[in-house]
Amino acid sequence: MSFKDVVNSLSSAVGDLSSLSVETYTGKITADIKGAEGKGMIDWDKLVNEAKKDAGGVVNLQLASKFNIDGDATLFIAEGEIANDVRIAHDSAVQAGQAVRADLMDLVSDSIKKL
Amino acid sequence: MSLDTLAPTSSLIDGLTIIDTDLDHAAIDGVISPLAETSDRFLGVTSDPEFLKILRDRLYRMGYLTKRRGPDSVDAALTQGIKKLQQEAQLTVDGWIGSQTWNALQELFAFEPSTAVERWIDQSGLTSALRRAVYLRLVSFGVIDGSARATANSLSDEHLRQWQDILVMIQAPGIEKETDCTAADLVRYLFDLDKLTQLVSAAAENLGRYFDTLDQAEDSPCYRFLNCLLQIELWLLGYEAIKPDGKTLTISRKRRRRAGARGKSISGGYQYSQFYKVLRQFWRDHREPLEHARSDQIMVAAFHSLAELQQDHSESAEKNSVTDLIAQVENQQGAVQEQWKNQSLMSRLWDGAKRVWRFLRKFIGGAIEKIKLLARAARQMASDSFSVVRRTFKLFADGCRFVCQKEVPGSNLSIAMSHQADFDFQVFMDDTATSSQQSQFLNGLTRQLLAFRASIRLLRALFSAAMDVVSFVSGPWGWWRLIRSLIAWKNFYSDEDRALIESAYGQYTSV
Repeated sequence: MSFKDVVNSLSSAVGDLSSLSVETYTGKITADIKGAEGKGMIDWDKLVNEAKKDAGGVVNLQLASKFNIDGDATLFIAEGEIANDVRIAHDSAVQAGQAVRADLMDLVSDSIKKL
Repeated sequence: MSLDTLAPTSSLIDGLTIIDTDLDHAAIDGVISPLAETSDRFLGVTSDPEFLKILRDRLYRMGYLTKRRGPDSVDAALTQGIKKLQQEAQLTVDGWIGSQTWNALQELFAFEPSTAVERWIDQSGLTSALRRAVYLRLVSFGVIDGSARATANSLSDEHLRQWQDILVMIQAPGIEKETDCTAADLVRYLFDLDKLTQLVSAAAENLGRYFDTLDQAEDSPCYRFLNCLLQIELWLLGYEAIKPDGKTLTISRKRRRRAGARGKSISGGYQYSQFYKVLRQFWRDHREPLEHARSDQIMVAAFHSLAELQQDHSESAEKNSVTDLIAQVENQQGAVQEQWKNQSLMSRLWDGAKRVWRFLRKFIGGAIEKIKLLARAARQMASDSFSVVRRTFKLFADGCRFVCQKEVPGSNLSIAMSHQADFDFQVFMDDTATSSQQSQFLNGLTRQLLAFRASIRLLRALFSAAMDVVSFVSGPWGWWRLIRSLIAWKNFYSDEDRALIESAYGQYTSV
């Protein structure tokens, strides 16, 4: 895949850079969300559909974070105790998303300055 | 706010796209012969008969092939040989030569890099690949007289003991006579030619006293070692009249006699042995006269000069060398272009480039040799950058999978991460996920992120270095602009960047 192709894929996958959101769910993924023939693959459609359901589904929303480019942040924390491992996973995903977004924006804005 | 808004097509994207395309053209046209970064490209690279010849030779010498020669294409025996090397060198076993495997083979077999042998030493001692390499190196250094082809069991404790004796003679720190040394302690010196040269130079007095006591210095193991090491050093500098093979070469001269008037024999100067001729040339290039002396003294004096060459290779000197190299090549474009064509992917390209450049900076030999060495150093430097650039693009593409693909690499049934749209991510943790599973996933995520960030850093550097290449290159020497950018790019990335790329690239193959 050429550089141009990668950028095109990126542009179509990431229409909007202005916000970043991360939602973290816990539940019975192993038991209920196996893909076809149970070969250890994840059935993403099923998983995402379960995530869309209100409480009581196979997976339940524990933490959600949304960060706008202007610095506004919205946080959601489910009632009850959130396991430390879940918090760590969520925070790691947030940090990864923020880092990638910042790097991409820096890359293109830096180059514009040089032209 | 979209990427398109930030990056109008006329700016960075087009610039980097042109560089990416130019690199493809450069590889197709053979202007630069890169190592393969994918198995498809490996099949392309192996259409170079020189590559296959050298690869087969190295694998044969390491004992991974039973025959030195083979067809002009990749066959089952070659693939098996590569796999065996990968297995023993603890690499991903895939049967093709990418940068990881080639670098491992290079580090084990060739003399140029200062090898980090620690990676092939574990609790049980030297790994099989390293044992083979150590054996071959001891043969090349004249320490042991054995077959030039290693097997899994070629190396013995006695061989290492013989090497220990040599290290004692050259006063290697931490090595003492008849005391226990670990194999690792002994082996490290074997893979650091710079260090060995410095040690020999520093131990001159000790060596002189030792040789004084011998009737036939040439028969001693230490003499053989110095002789073979010197051959290797000079060969790496480009003195191709000698081909180091672990055999001692004579350093001698004899007076030539010719018939004079009335049949009287008169002196006709000296006739020098081949190795002596090379040493005399080295001294001429060094611009110092070679004074005739005992052969061991001549060798030790040569090591003094070689040790001098090693000085001043700090980072700033490295940066200056890039600028100097570009200027010198530009001054000699036509001649270098001719020599460039004669430098195939493997022929001397991967050995001694660092030394060649040190040599060029310090001494200037004959014009033809100088051009040849300039082409070699420039091609090595450009090829090196070329590989890093190509891997940078690949890493960038891999890093973008993080946001382009639905499933974040490394996801499994215990912990998974998906990308839905824009910068929206969902993390799923199974109730039964253990801390260890979570930690494994997050470590993978961190590595991917680091790799991506490294690629971004390098892309920015590339864009800065290659601004003037942002138009299609063509013409007989039109490639020079691309090549110059590749050489110059060495000043924009550090060894740390490169190590990060190497490390990240290896990790990606296993994700």
